[in-house]
Formats: sequence, C-alpha cells, structure tokens
Amino acid sequence: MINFLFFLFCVFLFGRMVISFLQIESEIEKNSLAVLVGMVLVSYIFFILFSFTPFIFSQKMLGLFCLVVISWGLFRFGRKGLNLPLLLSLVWGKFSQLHLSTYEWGVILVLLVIGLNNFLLNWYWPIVDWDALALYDFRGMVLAKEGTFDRGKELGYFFQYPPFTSILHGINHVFKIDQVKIWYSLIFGAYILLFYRLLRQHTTRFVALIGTLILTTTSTLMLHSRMAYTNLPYSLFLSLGYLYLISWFSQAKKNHLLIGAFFVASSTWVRSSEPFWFLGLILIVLGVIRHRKYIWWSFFACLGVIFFKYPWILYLDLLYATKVSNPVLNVLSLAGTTRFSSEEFLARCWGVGLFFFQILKGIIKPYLIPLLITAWVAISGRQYLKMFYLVSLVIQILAIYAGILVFSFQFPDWSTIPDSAARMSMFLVPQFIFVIMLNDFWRINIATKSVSKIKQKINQRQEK
Amino acid sequence: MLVKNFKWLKKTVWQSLIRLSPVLPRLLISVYPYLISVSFFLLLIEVVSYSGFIRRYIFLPASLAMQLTVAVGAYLVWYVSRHANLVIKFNSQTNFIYQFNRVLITPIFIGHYLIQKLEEDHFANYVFSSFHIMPENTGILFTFSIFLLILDALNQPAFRQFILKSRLGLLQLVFFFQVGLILIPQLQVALLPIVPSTVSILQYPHKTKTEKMLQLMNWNADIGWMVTLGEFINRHTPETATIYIPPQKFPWLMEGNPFFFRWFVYPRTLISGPSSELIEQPFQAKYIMIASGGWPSATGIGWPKMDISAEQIESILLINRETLKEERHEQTDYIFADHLTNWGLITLKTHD
Repeated sequence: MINFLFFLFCVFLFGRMVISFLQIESEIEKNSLAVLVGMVLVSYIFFILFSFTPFIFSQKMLGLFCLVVISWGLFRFGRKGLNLPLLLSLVWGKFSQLHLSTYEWGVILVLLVIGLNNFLLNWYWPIVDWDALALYDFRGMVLAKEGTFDRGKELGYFFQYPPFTSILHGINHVFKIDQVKIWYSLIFGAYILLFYRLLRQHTTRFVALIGTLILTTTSTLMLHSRMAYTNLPYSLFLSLGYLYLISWFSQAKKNHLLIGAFFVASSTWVRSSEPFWFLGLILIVLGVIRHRKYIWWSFFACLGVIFFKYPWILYLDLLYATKVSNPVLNVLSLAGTTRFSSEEFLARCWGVGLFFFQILKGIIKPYLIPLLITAWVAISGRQYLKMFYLVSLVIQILAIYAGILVFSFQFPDWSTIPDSAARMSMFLVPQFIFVIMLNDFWRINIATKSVSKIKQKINQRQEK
Repeated sequence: MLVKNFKWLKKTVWQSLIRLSPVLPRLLISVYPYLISVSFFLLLIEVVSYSGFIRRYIFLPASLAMQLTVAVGAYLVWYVSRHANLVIKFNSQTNFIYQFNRVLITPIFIGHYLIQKLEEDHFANYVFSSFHIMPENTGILFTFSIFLLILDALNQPAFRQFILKSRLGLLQLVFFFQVGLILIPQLQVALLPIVPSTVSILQYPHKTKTEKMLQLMNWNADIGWMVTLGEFINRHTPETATIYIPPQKFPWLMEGNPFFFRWFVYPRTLISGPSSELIEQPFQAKYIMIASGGWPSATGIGWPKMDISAEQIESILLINRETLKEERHEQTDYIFADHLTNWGLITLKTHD
C-alpha cells in the first residue's frame, strides 16, 4: 500500500514539474492540473516504453520512474520543494487568508463531504461493471501479468479503446492493490477544482461554488465517477479542453491555449474514434485569428491535438501489420463508393435527428430554461463572450448529431446505441452549468451579508 | 382605420391585463394550499404504487404537479415581497400547511433514510419487492418537503425585504427557480445515501474483495455466482489450464461469454463451446465447465450436452450453488441427464 501511495505522490510530483513551466498562479489550479497531467503523461510514457522499447511494464519500471521523478524533483526544486510541512503551512497560510462567508463555508463543507464519500466508496468497493471487467480492467490485468499488450491480438476484444484507464488499472495490479477505482475519484476531484477555478475567473466566489456544487451533484457524473468506464475521463477531459480553449479565445492567455489543447488531446488518449477533438482545433484556429502573437504556440497545440493518439494507432498498425481503420476515413470512402439518393439521405438525416432529439432531451431538459434565459440576457446585453460560449455549445450539439449521422452510415444497427450516445454527450453537461453560472442574474450576490443585516434591523425595530 | 383599431385593441388588452394583474396572485393565494395538498397526495400515491401511475390515470406526472406547485409558491413569495404595500398575505391554510410541513419533514427524512439503508444492506429493489414502496418516490416526496420548507423560510420578513431590496425581476425569479429545481433534487440524491453507505462500509471494514463483489453482484443467486464459480475454477486448475465453457447464448450469457468470464479466471484460457453444444473429440482442452445456466431466469438446462465415458475422465468436481459444498467423483461416467442442474468441472485424462 505504501508503495502505491508513494507512486501516486510521484505521479502528482511529475505533473507538478511538467506544469511548472507554465506560469500558473493559483495553487488549486496547479495541484489539480498536476494530478490530471501526471496521470495522462505517466500512462502515455509507460505505453510508449512498453510498446516500442525493450522495457516491460513491471514493478521495477514503476520504481525506476519514481527514482527519476524524485531525482528530477530534487534537482528542480531542491530540498525546499519537497519539504512537506513547509508546503502544508504555505497552503494553510493561503487558505486561512480567505475570508469566507457562512454560506460559502456551507457549500465548501457539502462539497468536502461529497468528495470524501466518493473517495471512500471508490476505495472500498471493487469494480463490478460489465465492460470494466471485460475490457478496461482485464487489459490492466494482462499488462501487469505480461508487461505488454502484445497478446491483445490473440485475446480479442482488446483494442477497442486507447489504454489510458487500463494502464492506470495495471499500476494497481502490479502493486496488488484492489482499490482501482481510486483513479476515478482523483480525476473527478481534480476536475471539480479546475472547474471552480475556471468559473471563478468570471464570477464571484459564492456563485462559482454554487456552480461547482451543481456540477458535483450531477447524477450522471456522480454515477460515472464510481464506475471504471472511460466515459468520465473522456467527458471531463474534452469539456475541460473546450472551456480552456474558449477562455484562450477570450483572454488570449498562452497557458489556457496549451492546457486546453492538452486536455482535448488527452481525450483522444481515452477514446480515439470520437471526432470531437476537431472542434478543439477549430477553437485554436479561431483564437489564433484573434490573437496572432501566439501563432507558433497554436501551431504546436494543433499538432499535439492531431498526433497525440498516433503512438496508439502506430502500435496497432505494427501489431496487425495493417492499416487500422479510421471511422472518419471509412465514411469518406463509403461516401465515395456508395450512392445514396438524396431522398434516402434526407430520410436518414431526419431519422437520426429524431433519435438524437430523444437523447438530447434527456440531457438538456433540466438546463434548458436557465440556458435560454442566459442566452436572452447575453443577447439583450450584447455580451459577446457569453454568446460565444452559447454558440460553441450549439456547434458541439450539431457535431454530436453529425457524429451519429456518420456512424449511421457505417453501422446498420446505429439506432440501438441510445445509451452510448447519451454517455458520449455527457461532456456537454459541465459546459451547460458553466454557461448558466455566467448569467448576469447571479450578480444579485445572495452570499452577501444583506439578509443578516436586514434581520438585525428588523430585530432592532422590534426591540424599539 | 386598421391601424387605429389595432392600437385600440392593444390598449384595451394591456389595460385589461393591468386590471387583472392583482387578481391572479389573489386567486393563486387562495388555490395554493389546495395545490400543495393535491401534489402531496399524488406523490404519496406514487410512493406506494409505481412511477408513472398518476400520469397513466390522470395524464399529469406527479413530479410536474410538484414543480407547478413550487413554481406557484415561488411566484407568490416574490409577488408578496414586491407588493408589500398591497398588504397581501398568505391565508391561514397555507400557514398551517407550512407549519405542518415543518413537523412532517423529519419523519419523511427518517423514512427515506431507512429505506436507503435497507436497500444498501440488502440489494437493489429490496424495498419495493418486500414492502411495495418506491425508494425514488420517497426521495421526490422528501424533495417536495424541502422545497416547501425553503418557500416557508423565504416567506419570513427578513427574506421578503431582501427580495424587495434586491429588485428581483420575474425572469430572474424563473431563472433562480429553475436552478433550484436542478440543485435541490440533486443535493437530496447526492447527500442522503452518504450516511447509509458510509455506515455499511464502517460496519464491515475488513471484507475481502470477493465478499464485496458478491454483495454488489447480488450474491450467488444472481450475477455474483460468476465470482464464486471463477474462484472454484481457479482453486482446481493451474494458471496454464485451458477450459471449455458453454456457448455464448441463453442461458449461459455470463459463464459462456469468454470476454466477460475470462476476467474471473485469468490467466487461464477459455474455449467457447460450439453452438451445437456438443464438443468435438479429441478434446482441445483438459477441463470442461459443467454449467447449469447462470442467467437469472434459467434453471436446469445443463452443459455439456453430451455423455463422456469414465475412461476419458480423471475426475468430476461438483459445487452446490446454494451450499457451496464440493464433491469429487472419480472413475465415473459423465451422464448429461444426471447433471442438468449441476455446476462443476470435468478434468479430462487427455493432454494439456
């Protein structure tokens, strides 16, 4: 157990050192980013090592990683940087400087209780979900036992998704730690904190906390944070990437460009066949049209988004000695060879539209009226940034529709996947909440002490 | 002429609306307590029947009735606060219901908590199958009670003055109301199971992984049987073993699914039985799973559907699904008709 916890610390430390090249001020943002960046990059590096080099995935390799990270940490930060009491006192010092209202303390307490409960549940209960056993965790078991994925071709039902979560599971199996789901708590926790930080840049602390509370208690996300599926990391990485990239568009911060591009690229490391990374590219290009001074950074960010998944594709190419099918290219070739009459095409568009409407209805229903009101306020107040957020949401919804349409031409049984389509659309939910919390109506600031002041006045009057 | 008539019409409609505007809140104030009672009653019926029962018979979902009632309540609180000069007040029935709700919310909470605990301690759907009470609907009832408590609190003078001073518009009210509709049920769903789930963990902190999996997978009578069966196979076969499993069709959808069942017996290799359900000889594996059929609705189908002579068999190991008692038979034939309801493992004398 101590070995595993030490390894987790090394993943965090590695993430901290990677992001130390970015100029990030907030400690919350730094630490949350360190967790996510650490997880993604560690799994990525391990994959490259055990797939393309003679290294095999084993306890020795993980130990070597820890040694390298600790040495790098000592070199980079010196002894001071690894002084835990000093770090804690710094964090507490910053925390104690905050002047939180009773309402804010209340929300933080609720968030803490929910977060700790999530950790406890994921620590205690093992994986039992069907696909998690059949695919993600099984690959982790194979990796821990054999050190590579090379037997995957023979085993079958193995390479449907990139191995991000399986490598994390594999780490647990190597250390013989049953608490595999703890990774999902870490991902969810880090995401919640980053969401808060992003929201806090646009609104008051109380409103940002309320938005974070709404996100944390969203039943779909809570459910998936306790399941070892790829839906949660995929949705969270993609939505986080979009939010950072929209922020890059509006604020022209290089950090936001790089972090946003990293998360969109990371989403392809979780699920490579979904085409939504393409919208990330569009956001980067739109941003660079607006802020030309970061043209080179944008170029590298685009390359990162496009090529991040390529080691995985290359590995499959080498293993199968064939070109692995790419759904987008498949459709393009299908469109070239198959002739649909315009009537058939329109009928399919309509059918997919009805199918998608049913899915979207389930997701958007609770948020629709607040979103419409937010849109009304943004349009009537000519608030272009908020309008941009809303337009990007509409484009994302259209992109999902287009994705299902493309899928429908590939698979005759396309209409039997409503649950998968709903799970795939999960990345919209955090963005809905984000946009709702940007509404100007929140400026009423319920968290102020006005209610208690009014109470005092009433009491004084009654006393008189 | 047309323009003149239109202007007149517009003016008349507008003036009528202005005249009518105080009428609506007064009407709603008098109707409001009845709305609360009706909604409460409808939600209560769905607690002891099933979700959708009300919609089926009176075409109005009970949850929508609740939302409408809360919306009316929120509108009235807003209106009363904004028009303090009109001296409009909630009637005595409403105040009585609010007071009654203050008392009632505790038993509703305790009832809902106990139901959650029962579900947590037994299995999903235990409460409905035993007492015909829908746990989700007790949650909705509790949410309604919370909403009423909030409306009650907002009706206090301090909050009324706050609403007056904050110049909360009607659209803003709708917005906050909708956000409340998102947040409050979510909070209820997120927070209430925390205590029972934590208590059940703290009661048994040292459970093994197998015990936990069995609990989550509804024990041996259900999908949890795969855990026990997997452990049984792991105990009696080496890691290099190759095992025949039934074909992936009803009733062997779990133990016959090689991509699912392999997790339980890895690194052992599984060979799916042929769809004809007769394994061709010579055998490709040393072990054959005896599988009655694990899918919950199936009993006594049996597999492998063939007889195997004692000359080919090293041993037959059987496990009782209820008592988990194991039996070992040597130098006996495998007669399919005798093993319709059995589970176990045949070890063959052939290669491996």
